Amino acid sequence: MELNNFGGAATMPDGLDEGRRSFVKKVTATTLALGVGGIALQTGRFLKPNVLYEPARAFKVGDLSIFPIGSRIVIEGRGVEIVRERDGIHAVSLTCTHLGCLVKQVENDPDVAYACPCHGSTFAHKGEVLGGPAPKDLPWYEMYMDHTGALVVDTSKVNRERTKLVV
Amino acid sequence: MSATVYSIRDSIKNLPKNIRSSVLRPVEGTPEQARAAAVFGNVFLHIHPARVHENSLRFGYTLGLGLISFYLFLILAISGTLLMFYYTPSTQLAYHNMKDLEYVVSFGVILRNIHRWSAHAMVAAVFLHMCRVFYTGSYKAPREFNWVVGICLLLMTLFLSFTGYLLPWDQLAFWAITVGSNIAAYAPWIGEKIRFVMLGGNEVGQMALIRFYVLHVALLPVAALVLMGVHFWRIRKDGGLSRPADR
Amino acid sequence: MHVVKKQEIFPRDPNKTYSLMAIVDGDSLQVDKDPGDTVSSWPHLVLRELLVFLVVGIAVVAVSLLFNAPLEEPANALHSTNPAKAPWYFVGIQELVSYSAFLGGIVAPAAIVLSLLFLPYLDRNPAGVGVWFAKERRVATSIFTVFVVAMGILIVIGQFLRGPNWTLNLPWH
Repeated sequence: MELNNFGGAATMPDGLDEGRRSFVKKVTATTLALGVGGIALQTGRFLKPNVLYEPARAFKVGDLSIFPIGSRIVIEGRGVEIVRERDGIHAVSLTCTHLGCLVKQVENDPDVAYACPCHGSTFAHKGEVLGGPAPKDLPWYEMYMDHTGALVVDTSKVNRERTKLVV
Repeated sequence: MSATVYSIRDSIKNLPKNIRSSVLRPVEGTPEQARAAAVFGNVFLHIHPARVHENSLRFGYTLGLGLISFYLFLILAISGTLLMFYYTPSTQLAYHNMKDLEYVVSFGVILRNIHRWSAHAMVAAVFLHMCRVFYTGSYKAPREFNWVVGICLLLMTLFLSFTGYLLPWDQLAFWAITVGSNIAAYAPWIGEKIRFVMLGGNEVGQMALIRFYVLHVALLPVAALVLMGVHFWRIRKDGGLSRPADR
Repeated sequence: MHVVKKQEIFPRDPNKTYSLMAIVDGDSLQVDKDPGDTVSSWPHLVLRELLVFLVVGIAVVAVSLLFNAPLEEPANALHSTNPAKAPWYFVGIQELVSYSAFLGGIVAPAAIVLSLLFLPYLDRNPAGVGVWFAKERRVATSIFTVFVVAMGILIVIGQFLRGPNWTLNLPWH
């Protein structure tokens, strides 16, 4: 009978049938695993956005003239402070390295320059941690002057050497 | 056999009775049977056994905490669904929707209050329910797995509450989620990636709001509901509420 | 053999089929046993449940009529609130986080969740089921109480004693 060539277990030798069964089982299991795994991976990848509608990481902060020597000026909305000193200019991040709150400037204190309102971390004038749970110093970001003469801060690049832009 | 005569007059006369019996599946029999049928003949009540142990009714034993948690979930589901009619998950509109609920929508403020306070109460009730189950030793065999399901439900409750916290898009929400997502970023190896996927970006913004919204109104409630179904079903299968061994 | 004349609670109905619904490990279900210490769910259980629902509903509506849900200014990425607090049930974790983000924010919650998940598989002693604060379970009860009290204290500190810049303040200051 035609049926026996495909599914008639009764006349099949036992060994052959077992082999066929385990083959079908393996194929089914592999297909299932690949399918489920593939869907899981694709879903994970789907949830990771490729295009972000966030403000650009590099942005102009303005002309040099608006930063007089000795000033510390916060760039609203960017979480960056521009510090101009006699020997140069640099950009300090105001995002607390602990949990991302915005640190506040502390007035009239010889040591502490910034304090975080969330968990009480304190930072010195150059951004070093003085106390609290913050694990790292406040980073400095790369700064440069573009061809129009405007100062640009690039928050995607951390200035690890903490070099000031000499102007 | 005599053919019964079906007259439209009789039908109309018996209409209320017939509708009633078609809805209620009445059982004729002893009062005991009728009481049992009242429970297993009703789709909403048949989660109960027909008879329960007296110990299950002792308020001093359970304090009703599991039931209270479930009721709070129901209240949250209903009030939350109603709030959805006036809420837009957009950073431009969300806060204005909150103000509208407060000043413009009839009963909007009370609905929002109910949703907020029930959420707080549910976290407390679920936690206290866990304490009750621990202190009465009710997690012991054969109820181990139901305890695990219960812990998952506790986590669901916390996640639901946390995702809901962002939706009003006020200062409280924004900074609580900033802090919370940065805590997740401290997880070893994958922390930063978790944070990025959770927020859909590097900062708390529109993408984070819509993600938290979808989690809050769809994924997490459905997950919680499924787990609740398992939780209740297992109570029956594991032999009802725990009680001291029979003497 | 003798036949005991017994009034069955649910007489066998020839119009119905009977099937095995579950196998429960334990002493006999109801065979040859009166359901003496059980009561019918309707009305005893269901009415009590309705009563609890009424109480919960009234309590929630009453609180909602008396107190408005908090709503602060619109979200502003330029200004952190001071202090910035998590919801009260996470304030205990936040308090730990203010000592160490990794230990308090990752290790402690993970340890709590894992130990809760594995609790029934670690504590296999069947003694003391069904009784509040059973004498046989003093150790377990004490450990859990320490955990609950610690959580409570951390939440109280975080919620009421932490002022601006997360400094310890007494609430009446």
